[in-house]
Amino acid sequence: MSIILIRTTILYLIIVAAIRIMGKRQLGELQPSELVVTIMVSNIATLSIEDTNIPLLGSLLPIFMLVTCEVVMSVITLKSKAIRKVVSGNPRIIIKDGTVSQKEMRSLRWSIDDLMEQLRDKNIFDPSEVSFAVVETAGTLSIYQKFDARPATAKMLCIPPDGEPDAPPLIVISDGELDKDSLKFCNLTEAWLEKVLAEKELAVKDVFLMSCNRRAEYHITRKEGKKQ
Amino acid sequence: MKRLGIVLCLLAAMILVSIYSIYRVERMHGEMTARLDEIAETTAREDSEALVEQVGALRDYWDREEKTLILFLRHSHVDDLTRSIMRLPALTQYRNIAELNAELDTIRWQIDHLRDSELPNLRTVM
Repeated sequence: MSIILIRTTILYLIIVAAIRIMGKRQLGELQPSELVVTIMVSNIATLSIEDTNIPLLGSLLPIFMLVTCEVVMSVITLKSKAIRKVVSGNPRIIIKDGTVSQKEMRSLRWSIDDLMEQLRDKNIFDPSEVSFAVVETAGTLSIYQKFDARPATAKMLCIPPDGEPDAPPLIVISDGELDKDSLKFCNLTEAWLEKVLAEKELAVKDVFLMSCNRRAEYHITRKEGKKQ
Repeated sequence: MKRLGIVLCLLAAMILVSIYSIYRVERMHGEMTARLDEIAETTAREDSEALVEQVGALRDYWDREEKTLILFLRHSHVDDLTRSIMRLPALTQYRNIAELNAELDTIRWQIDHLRDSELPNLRTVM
């Protein structure tokens, strides 16, 4: 039993390292080759955990070989468009000017329900509102809506920018720990932060979450048990 | 490109491990075959003292090799071979020559099988 525990721990660490080597692409939408590698890695690891008769190297070598093949393949596909087409396929236009292409639907083996589910996932309930819908190589649907169905933007409404720095808010304090990089990104100093916290009679360790943007607009969530 | 560098290093390490495992199995095969031949000759000469000595030496050699081979080979294959080798001293001591010869043949077949299953060729790959 102890052998199984040790082997499982080793394989867990190895697989985490392997997935890290494969990169972030692996964690999001899977390309066909990435899906194959993920399934195979999990199966190979299980074999070695279940059967202590198999040497650990008998699992580690194929896992690393698959990771190597995957990374080499991703480098090759990055360089060659032809190989990229063979390995990952092509994006397919499934809706054009509000008209669903039945030929593409048959080719992709998508039912109307599949299509409508994907559209609803993008908050579109009527295919006629879609100017272009493309099925990406990872199987997701990308949509470009018709002009009259598109949500209004500031540009459409001719609203000028207010001249203030435009950047998303970042987490400056997380569970009582200060993130100096975020503070620097917001062009703010620790002295400013200390002043803000002092006004609220707080220390960094008392803050559960503090987000802030470049306009120095912030929001603080105190740790539970700290009085308001 | 950093990732490519890492996987190329991994690939080199994996090839080295594979070559080393083949080298160890080949070396074990050569050494064991030579020792088994010697034992077979001694058995034919009916030299009991030399036989006990050679079988003891074979067992010691296998005890050392087993520790490394278990890292590369299926444990059940290595265990089968160990079991056969463990029988040799008793067979020698009680002069059961017929059984000893049969066990030597079994060991010979097992080490041939171990080597064949480790060497990459069309038959083993397929």
